[in-house]
Parts: sequence; C-alpha cells; structure tokens
Amino acid sequence: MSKPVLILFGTQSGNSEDLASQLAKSATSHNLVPTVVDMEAATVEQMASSERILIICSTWGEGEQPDAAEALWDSISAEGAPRMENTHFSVCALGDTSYEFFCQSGKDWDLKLEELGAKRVFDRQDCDVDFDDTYAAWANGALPAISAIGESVVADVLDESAEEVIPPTSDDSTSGELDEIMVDGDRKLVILFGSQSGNSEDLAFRAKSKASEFGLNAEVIDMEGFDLGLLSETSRLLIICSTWGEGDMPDSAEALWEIASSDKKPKLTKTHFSVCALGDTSYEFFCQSGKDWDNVIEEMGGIRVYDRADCDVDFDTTFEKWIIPTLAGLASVDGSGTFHPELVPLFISLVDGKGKKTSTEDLDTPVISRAAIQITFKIFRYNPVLIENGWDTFECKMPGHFSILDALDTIKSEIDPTLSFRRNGPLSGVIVNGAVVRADRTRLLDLINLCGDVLKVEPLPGYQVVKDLVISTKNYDEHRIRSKPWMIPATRSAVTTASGINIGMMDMSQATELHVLGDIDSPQLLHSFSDTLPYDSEYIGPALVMHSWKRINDERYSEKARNSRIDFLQNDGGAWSESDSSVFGRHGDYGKTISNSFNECRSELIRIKGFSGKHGRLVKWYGLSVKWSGKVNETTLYRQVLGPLGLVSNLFSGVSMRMMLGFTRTGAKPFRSIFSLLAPPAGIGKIPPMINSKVEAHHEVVNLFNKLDKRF
Amino acid sequence: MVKFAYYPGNVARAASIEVEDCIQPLCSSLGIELIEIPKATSDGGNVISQASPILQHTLVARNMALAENMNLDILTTCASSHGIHCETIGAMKDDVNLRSKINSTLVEVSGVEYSGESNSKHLLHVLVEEIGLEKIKSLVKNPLDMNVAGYYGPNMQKEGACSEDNVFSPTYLEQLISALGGKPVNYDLKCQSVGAPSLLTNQSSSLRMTAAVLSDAKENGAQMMVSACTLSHSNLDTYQVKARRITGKDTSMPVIHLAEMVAFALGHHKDRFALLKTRVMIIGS
Repeated sequence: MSKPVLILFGTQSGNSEDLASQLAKSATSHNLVPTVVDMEAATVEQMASSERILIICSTWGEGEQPDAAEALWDSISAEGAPRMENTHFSVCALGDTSYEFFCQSGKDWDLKLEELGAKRVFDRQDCDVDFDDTYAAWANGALPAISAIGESVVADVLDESAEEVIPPTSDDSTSGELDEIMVDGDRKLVILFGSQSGNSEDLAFRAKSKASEFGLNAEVIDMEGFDLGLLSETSRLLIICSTWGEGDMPDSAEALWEIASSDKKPKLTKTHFSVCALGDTSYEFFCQSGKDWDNVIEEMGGIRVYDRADCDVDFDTTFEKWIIPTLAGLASVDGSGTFHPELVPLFISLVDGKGKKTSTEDLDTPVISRAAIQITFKIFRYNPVLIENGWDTFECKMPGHFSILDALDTIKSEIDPTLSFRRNGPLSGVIVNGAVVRADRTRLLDLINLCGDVLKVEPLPGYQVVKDLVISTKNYDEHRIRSKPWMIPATRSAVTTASGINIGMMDMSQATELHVLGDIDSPQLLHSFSDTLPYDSEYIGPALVMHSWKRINDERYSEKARNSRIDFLQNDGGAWSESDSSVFGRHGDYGKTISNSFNECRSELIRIKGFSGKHGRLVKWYGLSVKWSGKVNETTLYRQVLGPLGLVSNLFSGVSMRMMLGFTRTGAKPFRSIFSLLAPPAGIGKIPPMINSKVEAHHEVVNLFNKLDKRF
Repeated sequence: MVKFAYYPGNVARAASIEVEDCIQPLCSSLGIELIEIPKATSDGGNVISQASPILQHTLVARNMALAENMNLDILTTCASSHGIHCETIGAMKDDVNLRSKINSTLVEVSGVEYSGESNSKHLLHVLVEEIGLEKIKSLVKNPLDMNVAGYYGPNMQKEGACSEDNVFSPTYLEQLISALGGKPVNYDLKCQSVGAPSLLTNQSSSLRMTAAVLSDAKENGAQMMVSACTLSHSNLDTYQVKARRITGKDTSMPVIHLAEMVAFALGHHKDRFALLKTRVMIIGS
C-alpha cells in the first residue's frame, strides 16, 4: 500500500529545498508517496490532515524562521491551531553553530508539533553548515520510521517479532498450532490474475506453487470471465494485476473491474487479501491497476494482510519480498476466517527452513553431486545509453542440469553484475544457437547435445531490445490489441444440469481440437518463430494469427465476430503476411503443429474468400499450371500474380534484365529453346519458357486434381 | 556406383537451368547414377498446400511411390523440395488415416502406393554422408580458393530433413566448402528464410529478408555465396539488385548453387568457373 508523506521545507538560501528534493527521491524506495511543499505555500489545515510529515527548515538571523516560513509559523502558533493527534513527524533543522541560536527554527517546529499532539517518530537532527552526513543520518532513520506508520497486520506482527529469536518448533506448542491450522478445514486461497503480456499469469502460478509450502490449497483464476460474487465466501485472496497503457486494466480484467467499481460490488468482510501490482515506472500511471484493486477490495470490506507490492519491469525481487510475508499472513487465517497473528513468524520461519519438517516421515535423500561441464557462452549485449551492441564471451564450468537461467544468474552474480535478462515466465525466452527456448525451462545439457559446447545467447527476434537479453513486448502487445483477441460469445443453446444451471455443450473432438490450437506455452516465444517479423512491422505474427484462428474455430464465438476475424486475417498484416511458414518446422513437433494449423487457416481463408488478392492468385495459378502440365510455369505465375503493372515494375527495377542476362553470370547459353525466338523474352537467359511440355502420363495428374480439388 | 531417382525440383529445369547443367557431370565424377522419374510432377512448392494440404501431400506421395517402384531413394538438389518431401513422409508416418486416404487415391489414379520405404535425400547430405568428404577432396581439380558463405535456408533445417547435420547450427556446407579448397564463412543468417514462397506476394518483406542474408554474409567476409536451395537461389541471385535498392544494404555478391560449386571444383565447366572467379574479383571483394 502506498503511503503519502508531506515534506515541508522552509528555506532562505535554497539548502532546505535541495534536501527536500533529495528526501522525496529517497522516500519512494520506502514505499512512500512524497509531496514536497514550500512552507510559503503550505497551510496548517494541510498539516493537520497529513498522517506523515517530514520537515526540513533552516534558521535565519537571530534564531528566526526563514521569510518563506513566517506566515505558516504564525498560523500554527496562533490560538485555535488544529490538533494533530493523527500526525507523525520528524524534523531536520539546518543552522550554523557560529550563531547563538543554532537551529532554532527547526527546534521550534519540533516542539510545536509535539505540543499539538503529533507523534515524533524519529528524533530531530540539528545540522551545521557542513550538513551532508548529519542529513543522511536523519533521512536514513526518519524515512523507514515514518514509512512504518499504518503498516498492514502482518507488517505489524513482523515488526514486533523482528528482534525476537524464532524458537525451534520441533517440540513446542507453536508447532502444534501450525500443524493444527494447516489441517483445519478450509485452506483455500484464490489467486486472481489480470494479465496482458503473461507476466501476471506467470507470477500467479509461482504464487500457487509457493502457497503449497504454507499448507494452502491455491487456485489460480483469470480475471476474464470471473464472477466477483464468488469472492464473498472467500477468506483468502491474492490479486496479481498488470497495468496497461495509461493506467488501464488489462483487457482480460476490464469486465471484472467494471463490476468491482460499480454499486453492484459484493461485500468482502470475510476476505483477507493482498495485491501485487505490475507496472513500468517509465509510465505516468505506474501500477495503477493494482492500486485500484487494492483500494476497491478495501472499500468492499476486505482485510489487507500485507501491503501491496508495486513491481517495476524487473519484478522478481519485489515479488519475492512480497510473497513470503503475504502467504504467511494468509496461511495464518484459520478455517473459520480468523486471523492468528502469532503464527505469521512461525510460518515464515517454516518456509525459511528454520522450522521443522511438517511431514511425519523423516526421509533423508542423498546429496547428488554432478560434474561441472566446461561451456563457452557468447552473450549478446546492448547498451541503451550508448546505443551500442556486441558480444561478450564467458568461459564457465557449470553442472549440466543447470537451466540457461541458472547459468545467466551465475554469470551475473559471479562475473558480470551488469548483465540483464528476464528471470521467469514466458518472457524469459532467448535464442540459443538459433533455437527459441525458455531460459527457465531449458537445461544446459540438452542445449549442448543440440548445439555443441559454445552457446550463443541472443534476445528473442521480432522484439525491440531494451538491454542485453531483455526485450520489450510493446509491438506484440499493440498487435494483440489490434487483433481484438477477446471472446465475443454467441448465443447458444444449453443444457440444464441437475442443479438447474445452464451450461453450453461442445463436441468432444472439437473441444480437443480447440485445446490443441490453444495449447501454446508462450505466445511471446511463438511470436519469435517467424523469420518474417523483423522485416514486416505490420505483420501480427504467428502467435496472434493462431489466436484468431482458434477463435474462428470456436463455436462459442459469435458469427459476426468470426467474420470480422476472417477479414482481419485476410487483410495486410494477417495470415498471408508470413513469408515462409515452413520455418516453424524447425521447432520440432510443436513447430510442425503450428505449421499445419497455419496452413489450415490459409486453406479456410481461400475457401471463404476464394482465390482473391495476390496470394489467392498465386495459389490458383500455381495449381492450374501444375494441373495443365505437371510442372510449375513461373512465367504464368509472374504474369497472373504481378499483373501488367508488376511486370513493368520488374522491368524498371532491373529484375527482368537480370533474368534475361542470367547467362552472363552462369555461362549458360542465352537462348534455350525455340520458344525464346517465338515468344521472347520468355526462354532467354533465366526467364522460363511460356509453355511447359507435359510430364508423362499427364492424365493421371489431371485425374488427381479432379478427384481431390475441383477448384483447379 | 550409387543410384538415386533424380528429382530436379520445381525450377531447376526452368529459371535455374545452370543447376541442371552441373548435376549430371558432378554425379558422374563421384560415382552417382541419377535415374529420371519420368512421370514425376511438381511437389506443389508449399503453395498448393495453402489451398489443399491433401492435394500437395498426394502429389508428393505419388513421386515418392514412383521412386519406390524403382527401388530407389530420391535425390534432389533443392532444399525446398527436400523439405516438402520430408513433411509428407512424416505426415504419412504419423497419421494412418492420412496415409490410407492418400494411397487409396494413388492406387485409383496411378496404380501405385507409397509404403514409406523410399526416402528423400538432399544432394548435400548424400555428398557428406554417403560419398564422403575425403573422397571428394581427393577428386578436386580446381580448388575454390575463395571465401564462400553457405546458405541452407529453413526447409531442410528441421528434424527429419537435415539428416545427421545439426538443425540449428548446421556445418555440412562449411565442411564441403573446406573439402573443395574454399574458406567457409560463418554468419548468423545462414538458415534464415529469404521468403521465397512469397516472393511474388509479399515482395517487400521477402526482399528485406534476402538483403539481410546477403549483407550478413558479406559483412562476415564472404566473396561468394553457395545455396543449397534452388528456389531461394532465385531470390538471392535474380533479386539481389532490387533487394539492395529497397534496403540500401550491400548485397552484391555472386550466388551459385551447390551443384555448380561442386561441379566447378571437380573440374567441370572450366569456362564457367573462370567467369565466376572474375565476377568474384570484381564484385565479391
């Protein structure tokens, strides 16, 4: 949860103002949201309504307030000044020991606020003219102290127990309490995620995996299509949500947010919750969606067990810091929905390995040592400040079972801390010696067997590189929005279950087919399968083509939306923009499946749209020329696909001339056959003849075409 | 003498006639006998499959069945054709229903069926794995003596189509270039597509892809490029000027086909090799 802090400065020479600016920058790292105000512009009412105030004030003349602070000082010193019992504060006083009334103004503010009932969270610091060190000491103490004001229930508990030594839990009563709560009725945890690029979804599954260590039975649910009313009976809730565009919800979370922010929202008085917000500090509305969820769940009566985590693009560290105390808090909610604060540190120590095994069986497994392998890593580097790129080579010895991610982590921690890469999830993808792989799931040994012991690691192609191996998915996300990937349901007949609920029905084979089409581990990685993408900014890429193709095949999708999807795939940037779909075949069986689906998608487009456009004409005339002679007639293709204008363009761009003069490069004869004299330029140089001779038993070819596809 | 049923691909007897001029002499030097498949047709070029996958599979299966009747494997000089053959062979192995449907059509139309015994082989794989680099080296009469970038393309760089070579980091072309007395040039984009199937329809991206491959090879010191794919060869050679105009990249480089390179090194078409060396001196350096 973000915590506003009012930073007031009273300055004469500018020093206090400079320090106030520095303080504001430091405050953000303490989860504080600073507002810096000159005392000249501040009011007493503003001070009284602030829960947290930090003051930096210089002294002028004979212990006087700076001119800019005079009016505020008069107001706060006047009779009837408001009480400040809810305010917490600390003061940094600037002065000069060569004067009699050293730091008097700051001392006055310190005493005055205390008089009015405000609570001092950190002792005043009096600074001499050489104030750098004393200011730093004050800021380092005052910021965490003021940030701790109003922490969540778990944070309070943790603060209280910070100095305590967690006792061993093997035989004492607290161990029994843990065991008891972990088998006590409902241990369900709902993890709701709202994802645009897949990061939130990935973190949701990481949270689920971690939750099992706390004895929680977690269920990960996409916000898309979720019924908010179901939460009213939920006692444990985690929300992981990314922010999109200008502080907007991800597409999948829009509908749920509309309900949550309306009057129809349910009461969640039994629900203990915490929020992890994903965002990008380079945007104005950093983590806004997560902030909105945090506020609205609180408004609905939810009990925040741990403060919201606001994660930047490099979210791993923040997430890891947040997830343990959050899960400890949620795990400390018993089956009846009662929170047991005394169990929080025990849960944390349990997961930290300080506690005992909860299993009753004491199984010892041997430590398995694996020989390290000598590997050479060539890693792509990009410096976004200098706009320079190149390759760094690292000679390493690592165990073969390490993942690429383990290897990158090791290089970063032991050799080069400046190396940047994504750690987990679909975006951890990299190219290793040409293979598109997920860094967190691919073993070094498998890559060495595939590619040899020199591993060349590059960022995924088709994306803009942010730094080293970190890519920006901005273009992909924009294409995704353009492709309108959301489900637009059709009105369907339904059957009624025994409990009276209407449910839709789908043929099993179609459901299986749909599942196969949608069984994409990482759309961002599939996006990189295409060789065309880096050369065609309009092309939406194979992942989004496949997504639209899946929608088209889904009978739950509305007819109108289906037609719109078909038009979308038929147009520029759609399915025909892939210049060579055979490239998907590089990626094993999965690539073969994608390649086949891509072909089926194009076949369907031709079936619906006919042989229209250049692509349709190419397919039609290719087929016809093979049917007519058994061979391809390239001259026919050029003429029919490019049309007269295209042929003229080839003439002026040098292509036709280069074809005609092919014999000057190959040393072959300029004229190949009689056709070159009868119908030039066909047959001259490398320009094929106008008419092909037929293959033997040509009638078989014609029969074959007639039997299998009468459109040709 | 090793025997193969010869499948020239879709363009070796049209726009890429130089391949046809070289394949027979080089095979006779290496003890390879190529036997025509008289009734063979186009394999559909991965274009017909865009309207009718089953039709393309049946065309390919028919060619394979004809070779099988000759008790021979198919040898082709075109990576695209080889990739297409392997796709159909794999699909018929994996899907019993598909195999049955294709074969019943073939029996009805041509009186043949494909059992899966005959395989498709690319010239490059036959040279490296069956003839052997040592034998080829011993037969070299005119060493290449230049920096040569090998272009594989994407079609034969997939499991089941690349034989024993590596899918992602192939080295067969480089080994062959060395055996023929040339200096192989390593460059990143040797397996990247040049968009040959979409040359007429997505020309802009196809030419950008072509320019990227050529300029990458050139930046890495190549004086000449050799293509294992007849179809891609057309992009790399005929369209290199247009690719340069569109991208502004340096794409000027002689590009020849694998069959030409081997034939020249084995002493065939000395006049053509002399012409090539002159072109390399003028535009390849």
